[in-house]
Amino acid sequence: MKLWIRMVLLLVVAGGIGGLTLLAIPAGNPEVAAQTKHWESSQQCQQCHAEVWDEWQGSHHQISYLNPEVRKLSEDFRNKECAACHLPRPVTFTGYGERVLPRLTNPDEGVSCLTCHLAADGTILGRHDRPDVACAPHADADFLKVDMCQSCHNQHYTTDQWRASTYAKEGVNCNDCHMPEVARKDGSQGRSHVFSGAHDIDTLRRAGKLAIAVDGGDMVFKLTNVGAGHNFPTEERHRAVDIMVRFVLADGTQTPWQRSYRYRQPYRDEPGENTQLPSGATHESRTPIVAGAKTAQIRMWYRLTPYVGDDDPLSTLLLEKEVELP
Amino acid sequence: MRSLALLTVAGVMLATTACDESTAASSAPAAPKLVEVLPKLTEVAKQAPPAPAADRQAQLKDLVETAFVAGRADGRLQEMARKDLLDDPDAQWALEDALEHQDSAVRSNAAFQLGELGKQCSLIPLAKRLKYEMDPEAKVWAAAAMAKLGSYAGLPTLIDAMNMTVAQTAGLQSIDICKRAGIELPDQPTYDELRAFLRDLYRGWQRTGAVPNMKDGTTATPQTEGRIAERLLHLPDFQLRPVDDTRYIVARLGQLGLPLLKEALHAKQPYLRMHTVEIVYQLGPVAHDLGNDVLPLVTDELTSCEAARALGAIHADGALAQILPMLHASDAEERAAAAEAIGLLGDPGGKPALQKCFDDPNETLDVRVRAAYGLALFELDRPAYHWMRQLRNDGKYHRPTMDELIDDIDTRVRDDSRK
Repeated sequence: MKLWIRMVLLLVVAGGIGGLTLLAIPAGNPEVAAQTKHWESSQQCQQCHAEVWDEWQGSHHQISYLNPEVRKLSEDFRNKECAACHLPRPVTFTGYGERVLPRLTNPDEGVSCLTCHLAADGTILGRHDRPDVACAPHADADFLKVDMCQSCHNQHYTTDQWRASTYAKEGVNCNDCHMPEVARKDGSQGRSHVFSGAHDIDTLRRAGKLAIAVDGGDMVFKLTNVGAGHNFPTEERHRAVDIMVRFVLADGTQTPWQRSYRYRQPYRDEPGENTQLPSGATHESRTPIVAGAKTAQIRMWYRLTPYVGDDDPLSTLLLEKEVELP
Repeated sequence: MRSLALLTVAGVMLATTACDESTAASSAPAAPKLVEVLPKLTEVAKQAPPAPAADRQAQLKDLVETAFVAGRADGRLQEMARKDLLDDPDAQWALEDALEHQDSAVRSNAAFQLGELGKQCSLIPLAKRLKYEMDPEAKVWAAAAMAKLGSYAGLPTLIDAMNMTVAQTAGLQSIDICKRAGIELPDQPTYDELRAFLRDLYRGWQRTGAVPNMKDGTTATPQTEGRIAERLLHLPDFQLRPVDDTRYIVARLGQLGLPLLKEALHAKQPYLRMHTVEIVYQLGPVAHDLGNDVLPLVTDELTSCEAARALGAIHADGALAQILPMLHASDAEERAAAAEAIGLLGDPGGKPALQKCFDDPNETLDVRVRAAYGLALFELDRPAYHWMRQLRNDGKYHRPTMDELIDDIDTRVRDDSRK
């Protein structure tokens, strides 16, 4: 072989090997990056998971950074401490159960698909190994555990409350109530991504059971947390359950509504005791019956913020009863 | 033969490209060397002033009630109680405790007296009060007291307050602050003039973290260091409220926190390292000298985004070369942070890359928005700024985020803190 051909061949081989070797360093390797699907938005999930995406869209996870109620309470997120959980980077970025960090991108997506489903190595987490589908999810036992939710939901101690409950001992976790199994139109089974909770009246009504009785000159209210694996209500500051009563006198006059009891945890720097009802617990409150009253009207309200009245859309009527008085 | 020649060219190009990448990689800062910082902070925290015994605390609280709560005692008794309180060796503790009193008049009095008492370490509880205070008058007193103790972080509060019902109090305190800073005021300064003087003082403070005419104002006393260490020890907490309190407070102490922040940037504990970078970002140019401590953190996956933004905010020397490659990261979060950082940095060498990023139709909107933000900070590039405003008006991007970015551009360009 002629010398110049040998030299050209040598140059090709040396250049090729050298270049490929150096490019094989993962950081900054555009070819590797191009071949590897990079997940950065929930929009990427919509095409294959339309029904799940529709469930999530409009959920309080999706609107967590948009919700006017939250924006008001956080002073439009000038309270920076709120941003981490309302616009979080993937949980796995810091680790299951660890505090999440805030992100800059996709503000409309709030707690997005990737917040829970993106693994630390950039792959997708799921309940089952599915190497055959586009996002090739792989199962991870920790992905289904309470620690996943804890990263955000223990900011206000909800998962601590769950750990102290019988639900934890029986292995009933967050997903069992807040992500029930659903059958989808395409025939598939899966966990609901609506995340029903404090904004869903049926979920709320399952949580508390109110027994009403008359004892001498008192109305007696016994509220039992029968359906929540955490306090009722849970979270701080924002949530309250009120037992309200008014009396109707013989001439039809109604006394003003008065609060028999408020179940609520005051905010961190707010005075007052925590009156939330732990899972399985019963609490009794009493209100003296007004002289001459013929009936008592009772209402139980769930308030998304304690500073609102009955007419506010942030108040949900859980129970309304009228009791004839002896 | 032709294919052989093509192969040759391809091979050489491949090698050249690889060498470019390799050169870039070799100039990257070394991975951060992480050390245990918590024990040191725990030790330094012991320098914080101790609280008096419980029975003394009760006495002091009672004295505060008598001295400051209206109608609690007659005028003569109230004056005696005030004198006793201020003469008490534990007056500082009593006044700092009174900053949390439910009566806003008590909080105002306590803040004023703490300013007079002159203990630098009271800046920490005063800064916390500044964060949470809802009463405009008490907020003015907290801001004014901070100015006396060495922090101008509350001056924007005073500037705003001169448009409110508490304008007179704010005006009088502003006059006092200007005089202490050596500013020669007109005989009867207008609110506009006072606001202008305060803005100048605030801009200077943002650049230097130093209050004019204050001896030793940029060196933390052992008590102040102790309290800063106490705050930093909260950064690894799970609950975000104390974390955010720390970010807020330490970012308003100018140079006082820099020595401990420098150490915390190297902390093994990830949240301590991470949130310290955020504090550095908030401090801005005051923390310029921490540039070399922040630089390695761009290679730390946990802190890369925040480190880039912090490097930009503090105008760190040599940062551009480390931030530019992040514009090509596979993670949009990193690209967005890099775009923002280049604008904050203000190095003209970064402008072409930022423009390219902004012009790239295939780039995600989030990153293009941050590139526009970065370009707008170069001031002359108004098209990017107008594009942002148009995007906002058309409702094509998350409005509160866009509002926040545009407000930030307006403030930074107006204050021109990079000069």
